[in-house]
Amino acid sequence: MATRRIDADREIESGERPPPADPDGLALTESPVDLPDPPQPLPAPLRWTTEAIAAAALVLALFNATAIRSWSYQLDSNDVTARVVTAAEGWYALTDLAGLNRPVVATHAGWQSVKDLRFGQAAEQPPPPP
Amino acid sequence: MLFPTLTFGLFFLLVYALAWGLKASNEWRKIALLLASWFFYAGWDPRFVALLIASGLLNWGAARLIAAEGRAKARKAWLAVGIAINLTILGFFKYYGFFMEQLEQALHALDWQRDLAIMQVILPVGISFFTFQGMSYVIDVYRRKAEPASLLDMTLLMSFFPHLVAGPIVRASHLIPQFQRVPELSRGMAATGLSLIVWGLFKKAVIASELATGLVDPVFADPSAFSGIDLAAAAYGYAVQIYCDFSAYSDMAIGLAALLGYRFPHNFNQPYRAASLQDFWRRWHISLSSWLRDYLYVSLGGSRHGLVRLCLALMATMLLGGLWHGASWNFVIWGALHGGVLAGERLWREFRPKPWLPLPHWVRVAATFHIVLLGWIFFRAESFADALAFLGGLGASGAPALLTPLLLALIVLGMSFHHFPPFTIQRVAIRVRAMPALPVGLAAGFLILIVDAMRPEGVAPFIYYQF
Repeated sequence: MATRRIDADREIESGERPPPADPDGLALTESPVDLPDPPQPLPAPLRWTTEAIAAAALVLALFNATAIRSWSYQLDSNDVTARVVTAAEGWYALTDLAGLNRPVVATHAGWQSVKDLRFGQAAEQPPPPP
Repeated sequence: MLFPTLTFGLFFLLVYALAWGLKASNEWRKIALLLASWFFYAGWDPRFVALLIASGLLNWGAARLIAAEGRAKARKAWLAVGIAINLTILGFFKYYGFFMEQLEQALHALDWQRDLAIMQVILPVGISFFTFQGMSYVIDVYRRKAEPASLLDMTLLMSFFPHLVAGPIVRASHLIPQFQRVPELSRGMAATGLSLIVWGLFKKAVIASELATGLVDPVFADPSAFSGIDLAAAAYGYAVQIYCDFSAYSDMAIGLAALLGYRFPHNFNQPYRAASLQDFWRRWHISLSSWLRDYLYVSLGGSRHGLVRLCLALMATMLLGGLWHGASWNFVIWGALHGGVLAGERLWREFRPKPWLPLPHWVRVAATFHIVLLGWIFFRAESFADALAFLGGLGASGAPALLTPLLLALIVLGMSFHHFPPFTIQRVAIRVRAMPALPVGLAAGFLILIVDAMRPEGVAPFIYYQF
């Protein structure tokens, strides 16, 4: 896609040296999604994007069943959502059996231990009861 | 329906499939996007969908009347009507309560003892954004900078869900021409869109949420209970939080629109690396600052009528920019601070004694950031008294009670973003677009998974939803 540079001088305040020519050919354009044209055309953009989104969705569905289950319990209660809850519970049980929930649980626990770190004397005190 | 939720994720997957499935007919595609946008907005309060439709209709009608009219006076009259409609909608929902309370206080000061019957008005989400968008469309048609759009394009412009509740403020001249043709998706657009969505999720769900819940909210709720170190950390923390929160929304909005084939404009460009307040406003909430410049500052005379008029125009623009955020004296003070410093910078540039050398660049960056930081304290505090209590408490001794190594690291990390090499996301996207789809999708999925494991329970609304 052809890009249009926007008044690049505006970006440079006096005292700040003007940037050298960008090695990737990037410049301040109208939109942040404007990139310089690739050296060779990249085929089938819609298929490429759809496959990438599908792969990301699959990863999240497989490894984040805990979040799916929590989300299902937050839905307003009715016949349809009751079935959603049952499905989410079933999916959670299945992925848990396969050990797919462990990476998220481990990451969450690791992050929690980083959150619990304290400075100086506060670090030596026992944490408050939950 | 908040962006970083599963509900929105499922909604977007459906819209993506529908929008590209209807690629053969641009009109049906736009109708589907319009209905999806109304459904998205109804998630907050279905009653206000009618307001959104009415606002779109009125702006479309006003622009049509302006375009059809040849006489200059009549065109101006229709412009005035169009602007008055938008300001009436905004004024009623956003400022009615504030002005009635001020009126009641003034009457009480004059010994009027009875209370006024003040209605409780619910603020529709995103009203400031969509009314400003409507106004810019009407003014652009009046100035002959934009052609009058079809009713479908106009209502979609105002209702399009990625920017509907917190911007960027996308102008008709930017988006309507994109609506008029079937959008094309390139791998570059998609790669940048995906990168912006993942990056925005990290900034919002990890940095902004963690700083808000662990530091900023408790300290601003009761500044007197904390030491000066906690207060200073909360002030810096809020500067990082508001950037990570608001820029995250913009990044995700731009990314989502890109996946649907539309190009939204920039809204942030490393604002805390600005070396002056003028530079800051070219980098922060760019769509609002350029709106204020083009439709308010220029209309007030801008730089065309001498230095005094220019300073008054700057001050008035920033005061109204402050009030745009909400009806509160703190926003007025925030606007006055920015307007005053902008005017001061301009006067300094005119009258700086010639032998005086300019300050080193890093000193100006640090000074600009701390002026912005001072403004954020008024912006965040509930009242003027709270802001003064916060500032007074900065000298209080005592050990930090809330500041933890993680929160400090997040503040430093959030500040470091402003000093990354320019176009970092775009550089990532250039590499990503050349890769096969499967590893890109797997990487995006695992990164979102990590972000989800790190974020606090629940999702707090974006700060700019309240505006």
